[in-house]
Amino acid sequence: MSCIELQDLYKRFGSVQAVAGVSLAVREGELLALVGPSGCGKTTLLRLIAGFERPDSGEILFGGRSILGQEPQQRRVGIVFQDYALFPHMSVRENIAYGLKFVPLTRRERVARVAQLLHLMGLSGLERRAPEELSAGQQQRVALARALAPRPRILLLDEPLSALDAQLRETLRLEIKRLQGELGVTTVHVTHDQEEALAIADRVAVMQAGRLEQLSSPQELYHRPQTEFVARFIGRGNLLPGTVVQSEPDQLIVRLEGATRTLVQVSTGDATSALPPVGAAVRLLLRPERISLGDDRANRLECQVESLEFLGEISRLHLRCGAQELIAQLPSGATEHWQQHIGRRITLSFDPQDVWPLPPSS
Amino acid sequence: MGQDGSRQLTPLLRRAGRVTLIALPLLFLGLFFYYPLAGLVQSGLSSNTGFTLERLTRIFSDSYLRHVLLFTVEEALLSTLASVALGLPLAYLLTAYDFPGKRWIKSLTIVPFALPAITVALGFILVFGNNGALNRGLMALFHLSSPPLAILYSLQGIVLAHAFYNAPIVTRFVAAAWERLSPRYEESARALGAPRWRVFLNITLPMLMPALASGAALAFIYSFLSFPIVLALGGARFSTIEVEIYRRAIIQINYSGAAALATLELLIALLFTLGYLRLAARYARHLQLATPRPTRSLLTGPAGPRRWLIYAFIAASALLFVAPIAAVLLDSFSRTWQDQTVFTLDWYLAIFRPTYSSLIAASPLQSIWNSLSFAGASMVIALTLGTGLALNLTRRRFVGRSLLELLVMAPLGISSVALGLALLRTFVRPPLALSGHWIAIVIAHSILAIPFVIRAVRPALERLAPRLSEAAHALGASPARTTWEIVLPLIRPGLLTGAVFAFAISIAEMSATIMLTRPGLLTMPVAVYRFLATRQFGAASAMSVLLIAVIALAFVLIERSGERALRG
Amino acid sequence: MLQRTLAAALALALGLSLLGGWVGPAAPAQAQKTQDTLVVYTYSSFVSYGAAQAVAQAFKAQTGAQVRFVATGDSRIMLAKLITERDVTGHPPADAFIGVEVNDLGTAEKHDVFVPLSAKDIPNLADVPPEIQFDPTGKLIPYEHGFITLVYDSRKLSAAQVPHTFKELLDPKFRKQLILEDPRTSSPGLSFLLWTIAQFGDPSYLDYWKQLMPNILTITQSWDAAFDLFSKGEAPLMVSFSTDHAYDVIVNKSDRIRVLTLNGEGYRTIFGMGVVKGATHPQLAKELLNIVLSPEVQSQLPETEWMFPANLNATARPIWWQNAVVPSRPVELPAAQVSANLKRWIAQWVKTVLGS
Repeated sequence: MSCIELQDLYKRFGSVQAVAGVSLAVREGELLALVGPSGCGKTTLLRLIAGFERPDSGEILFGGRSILGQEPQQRRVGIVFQDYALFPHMSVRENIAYGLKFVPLTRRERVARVAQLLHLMGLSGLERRAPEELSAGQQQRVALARALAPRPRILLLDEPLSALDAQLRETLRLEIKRLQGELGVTTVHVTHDQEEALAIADRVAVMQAGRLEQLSSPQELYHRPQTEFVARFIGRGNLLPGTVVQSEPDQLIVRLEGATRTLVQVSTGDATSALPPVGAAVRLLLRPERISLGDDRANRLECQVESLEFLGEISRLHLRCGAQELIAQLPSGATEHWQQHIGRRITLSFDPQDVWPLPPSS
Repeated sequence: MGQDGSRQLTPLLRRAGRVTLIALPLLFLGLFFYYPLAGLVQSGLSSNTGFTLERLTRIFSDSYLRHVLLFTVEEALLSTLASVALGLPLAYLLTAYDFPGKRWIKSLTIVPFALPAITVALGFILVFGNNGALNRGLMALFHLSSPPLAILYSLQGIVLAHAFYNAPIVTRFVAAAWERLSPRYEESARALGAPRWRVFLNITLPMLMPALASGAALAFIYSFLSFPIVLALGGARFSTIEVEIYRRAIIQINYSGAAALATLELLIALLFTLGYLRLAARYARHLQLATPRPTRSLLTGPAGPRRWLIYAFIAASALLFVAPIAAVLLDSFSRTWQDQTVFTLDWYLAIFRPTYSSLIAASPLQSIWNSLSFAGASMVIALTLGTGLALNLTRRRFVGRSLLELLVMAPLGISSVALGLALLRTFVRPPLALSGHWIAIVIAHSILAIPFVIRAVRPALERLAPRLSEAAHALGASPARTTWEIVLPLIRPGLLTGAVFAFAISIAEMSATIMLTRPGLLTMPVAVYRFLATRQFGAASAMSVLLIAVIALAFVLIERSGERALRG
Repeated sequence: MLQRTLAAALALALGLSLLGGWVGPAAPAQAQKTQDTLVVYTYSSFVSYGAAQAVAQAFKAQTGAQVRFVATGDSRIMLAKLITERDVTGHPPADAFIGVEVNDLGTAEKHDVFVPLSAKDIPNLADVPPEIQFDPTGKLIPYEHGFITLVYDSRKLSAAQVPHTFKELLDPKFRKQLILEDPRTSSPGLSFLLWTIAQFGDPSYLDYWKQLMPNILTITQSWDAAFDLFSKGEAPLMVSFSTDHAYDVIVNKSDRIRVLTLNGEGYRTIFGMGVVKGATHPQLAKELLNIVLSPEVQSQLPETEWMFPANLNATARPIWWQNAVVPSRPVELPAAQVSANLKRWIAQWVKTVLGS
């Protein structure tokens, strides 16, 4: 069942339409990531849920009931900001205990709850410290503990990882995922980092210019984006323009544009959306890691190797097929082999189920 | 070789700069504050036979002086309370809401603080007096035969006038801090379930504490040292220590008695300063800053009963802050003629006539020029010396830092009557024979303003997260460049507050000025005083209006140009 | 860079101030002390209403010398300033002083400010009636006098409502209706205190004050402050001068301010002037005092000083004489008695009225 439902929300700040007709439902216990470039309206959406902003129109339901009439302090949301906003004049313990003052608990229950959270977050022994005496990771844990202490109906995370260095970010995002899974608290996580969103979310909502582009599981989002924006924003991809020449229930035949005019077989599998008709212009999304550098797959293309990029774990091969540029990924162990192919023509291939047709951009 | 040379030279220069930054202000204070002060304290603590505490103990054994002492503390505490009660909501309105003309109002909040006490007293009598506009309005409205509100000539009249003066200080200090306070703290607390008033009490207030403590401490000290207001609105039955000092020194030719009282007054004021420094240090924290804080429209923002509460508060504030000034303005355009009050330009024409110029021993234009140039010079000196001291006090930890802090804050606790007296006695003799020179007045004003600048700049410096300047250092900027390009722009509100207050202190100062001035060096407040003292009440009002106009204009200009200079 | 900029600014400021110290003040201070400029300390209103100008012109015509008036406060502040500056620097800053009130005779005497003068020094003294020649040592010469009385605001009180005796002034209907001046700082205030002592006797005057207290609105520092409050209608009764009605009629073309002589009395106040001991130009100073007592200057005093001239040959316009009130029974305590008891009386008054 859905825990939180946003219905057709609009919010404008002066001349900026921050949120333009967003509807989505957050399911009980899931971790939903709200991702998009900066200024896309994701933080505004979060602030609408928390109650810091009022929508111009639309409805927000918690458990089926409208909460628009409620002040932030009545909504029972837990929030963690990018800068954590730990109260600098309170100790770690006082920070965590602050929200417990406003729920009907006995003193003993409060103490127990704080102790439980300190333990859960691995903060035991730090309870008397001032926030400024903590490391960034510890501060984040305190912020999480503080937000979770009053058992919120929903946890809102506003880019809590973006101020951290890359390594710490990866550690902490795993910790957030583990914690969220253990506690089962419904969470909305706002981030501009698509990798972070894919890594921890049960479902990901991509926003652009105040609108919701797509809401689906990370895999679906990655492999079957609904719009060109999503395809470009999530991961790396090669977009090959072409025209549908044949459309069947589970497959398409597309003729690629350009000199080669190659025919490509596209398996659409169990896709639910309507397939493009014959004659329609489409773009085919081909992920770099799905390209085979040989002619062993069903679809083949003739290319010229332009350059090679060594990235440690993997390497990237920059290819050109006529006017079309392509990126292919290969294990870094194969780098030296392919080094010799620069400037040469090769054949690459891919399976029909590894390409995905995108509707033409509007 | 050149490379090596400069590499060795730079730290040397840097250290020289650092030493200068702290040595020069101290030299200035030593020469022009501590040296004269030593003479004053010596007079207070010595007799023919040498050192004695007799004059001090005599103060405590005199029941009248004990009464004066207690009244002064009581009056100052109540005034501080009133200033905070008024200044804090005003700071909130300025921080949380937008309204047309807000920038102007912000620039002008400080005007009351800069008004000479005699002008304020005049305005208060015209508005809150028994025959004032408020009482006459109520009498007409409710058909009363006698004035219903006895406000003046009592403790509450003094407290109200002190709130008029000092609430702007509180507002100014608190608003500067509030504007830069990240709203995330309050939002976090609200999300945790705290109702608005709890958020304010638990979160906002503690974070504003350094600024609030600064403002309140200044309000206390200013009320504690207040003198012409108490004289004018309280009368002899409500004397403060400062009034007694004035009486002894200026009229009763009892310099050593005045010096003893001034010493005691200084001790008490320093005690409070010390307590407040402790308090401020306790609350000093590195906070996240946000600029700008989101605001709502005052016209459409507040809703329900909240809205009416806000509007009522604004109306009451307008009555307190605007009405007295408006009343002086009206008064300057009216005179009694054949038992009628009639409109007239006589007073304005009068103050520009040569006979009136000889009356105040200067032309009004000359006194405007004097006031502005003294204030400008004092502002530059106090801002430079004060910021230098504040940077040192905030950044570095060294032995005796708290002692140094107390030393540089001490001028705050000195009565301007006593300071004027001490300076006068110092300046008539070598080695500092500055008597009758404009520099003497500028020095007195600068000394009074330096602690204010420090107070205004320090909270801003303290709230500055050290990682900001560390970041700049890391990017290769020298400490001087870091200060200039990172620190100063970030503490802009503090600097502006300091500048504005230094200017205000100078332009309003009368007690010390009147002792150090000579014909030709007359300032505007002294001119107002001269007119009043010679029964020229209309001319005094006209001169006051001129002063108010000059002050208002100066503040708007300072803020605008200051914002531009520091932004650019 | 900033530190260097700041340091430069500091050095400049300090340098300026020191330079000012060495060069600045010497110039004006010494220019004022040139051979033939007589320095006179007086109260500000003496300069403001033109009396000083008349004196200066006559002085220039008669002696060829200049006179410079220094008037930065009222008479008591100026006397204190003179004494303080003399004590600090070791030499008196002025040659003559105009404006010592009769009750400040003791202060002048105690600090040994003035030199004795003879009738030969000041020929015009011959035309001054002996009853106002208050200084038995002959140091201070009277130049004007007047009477402290009550005045009332006829717009607030009708003639039928006003008190006519000290006793009637205690009536509860005058609650907070009276403005007084502080006897410690104001001459009219002190005169009123002495008047109550003359009226009720030494310890009993304090009882009167106790009873009077509910009717006092405020006790101001100076007469100016009191008159300002009175003019603005804050209270209908004030301790002031018996010439206030004439002032109102002549200056404001008004009939608002009226004089009340309690029991038909008024307390006499006299203002004197003298040559300062150690003066640079004692002879010129004497000539100046004589000019102040000349009939020409004296005739200007009524409508500039709003006091009665000391010289019997002085003239005034009829409108002045019609409206300036002379109490039928002038009251004054003997100067010796005042000098001997003043300190105690004031201390007792402070204790009784201002509280302990």
